[in-house]
Amino acid sequence: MKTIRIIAPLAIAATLALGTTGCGSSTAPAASSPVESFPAGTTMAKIQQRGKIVVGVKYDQPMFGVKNPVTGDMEGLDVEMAKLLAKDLTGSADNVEYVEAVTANREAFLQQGKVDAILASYAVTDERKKVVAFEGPYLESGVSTMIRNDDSSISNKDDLNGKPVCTTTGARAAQLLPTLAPQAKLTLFGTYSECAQALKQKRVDAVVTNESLLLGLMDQNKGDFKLVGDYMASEEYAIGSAKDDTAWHDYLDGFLKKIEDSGEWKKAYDNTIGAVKPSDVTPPHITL
Amino acid sequence: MSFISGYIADFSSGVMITLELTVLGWGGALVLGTILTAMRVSPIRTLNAAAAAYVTVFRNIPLPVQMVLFVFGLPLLGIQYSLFASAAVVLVIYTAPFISETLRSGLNTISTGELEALRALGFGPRPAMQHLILPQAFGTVIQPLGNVLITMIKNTSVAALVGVADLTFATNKAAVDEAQPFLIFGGAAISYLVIGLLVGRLVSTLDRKAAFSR
Repeated sequence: MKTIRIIAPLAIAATLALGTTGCGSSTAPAASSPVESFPAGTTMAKIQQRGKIVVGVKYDQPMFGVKNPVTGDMEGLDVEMAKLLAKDLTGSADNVEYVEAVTANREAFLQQGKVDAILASYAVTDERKKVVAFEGPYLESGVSTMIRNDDSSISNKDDLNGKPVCTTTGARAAQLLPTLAPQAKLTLFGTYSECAQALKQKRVDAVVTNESLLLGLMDQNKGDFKLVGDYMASEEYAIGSAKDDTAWHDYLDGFLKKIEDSGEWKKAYDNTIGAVKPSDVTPPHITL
Repeated sequence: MSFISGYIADFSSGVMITLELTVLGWGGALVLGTILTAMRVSPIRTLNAAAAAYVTVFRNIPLPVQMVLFVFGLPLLGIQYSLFASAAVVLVIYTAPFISETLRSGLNTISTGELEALRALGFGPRPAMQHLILPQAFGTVIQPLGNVLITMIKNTSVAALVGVADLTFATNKAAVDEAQPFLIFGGAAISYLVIGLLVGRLVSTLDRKAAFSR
């Protein structure tokens, strides 16, 4: 027993050391260089003065932003992005203050200046563009369909007609479905975990939303669900920021470009969504 | 403001669902609440205890919790109702204890002397309750019952939590789709206010009539 007690921590320490050196060699030299300084009065300068960046993230969206119930740590692609942003502005990835953003309050948070940026699986729509500014996109994905593993009655979007289908209020799928599968009976819940529960209990026969979110649900309920059919539509996820703050907008676009070129974006993707859907993904073009 | 027009249909069906939930919830709660009151004041001890236990349990569990338990918990036991039916049933279950307690306070205003007089005149317990005691009890508590009703109308919004497309649900959906929460929720607030005011007027009228017969 005594030897194990000594060996175990040593082994962990060794792994950690190896792991960090491994990471260290692959990161761009930018990581160790001092942070850029900005003219006073800009959002970037304010964040540096404050010493931390305030971001709105989801707390219940697997793969994007989720608060780990065991450790209490924030996880997901949106969280990784926030950490990279904090590192770029303040020098340390730990200088992030997370604020829970739910679908309905994201615009209000930006308009009232409660957060510097929204990183909350924020899909770009024309309506939203009218009230907030978007940077990116930092992820392109598609609207997909998830069904019970033992169900073989649904294989494409036409099969959804006449069946109860679940998604959440505010999801783009809720706007798309009436045109793609007009006879589908739409059930809207507040969260995707409720949709998953309803699917399990056969209250609905399918959950339709962004593929990355569905992968997260499948990861949480291993072996219960599967994906079927092609993408119904493509979706772009972007950083949301206050409208009319052009300096901040330009900085964020530049930041995304920088992490995509340096490979940090790829690493963040591989650690989150890439872990359940391994693929050789290329970062999206920054167009907003 | 032009975007509102796209949601008129959603909003009006939302208002209809809210009204349907109100009517069903109130009807059911009134029946269940009256039965509970009768049990509370009955001389049979088991009935009394059962009603007291019911009131204690369901009055103290928050409505959203009951709603989610009913919708997602009961299917685990193999019982599953439609979302709308679930919401209506939960509203009945939750509101009945409040009606029961209000009604009981009304019953307490009737003196025991009156009961004794009725018994002396040869009224059985049921006819006495039905024709003389309960009407008087209801008459005294119309205003407080009106309060319970208005509270329940607002409580129907909890149904939106489990995907019932009521007024709050339609509001939330439009607000998220259009990214204009203040304007749209403002509209919903006015809708609830109008419904509440109308019901308030109705209750006052009813109270004046009852006061006359009292």
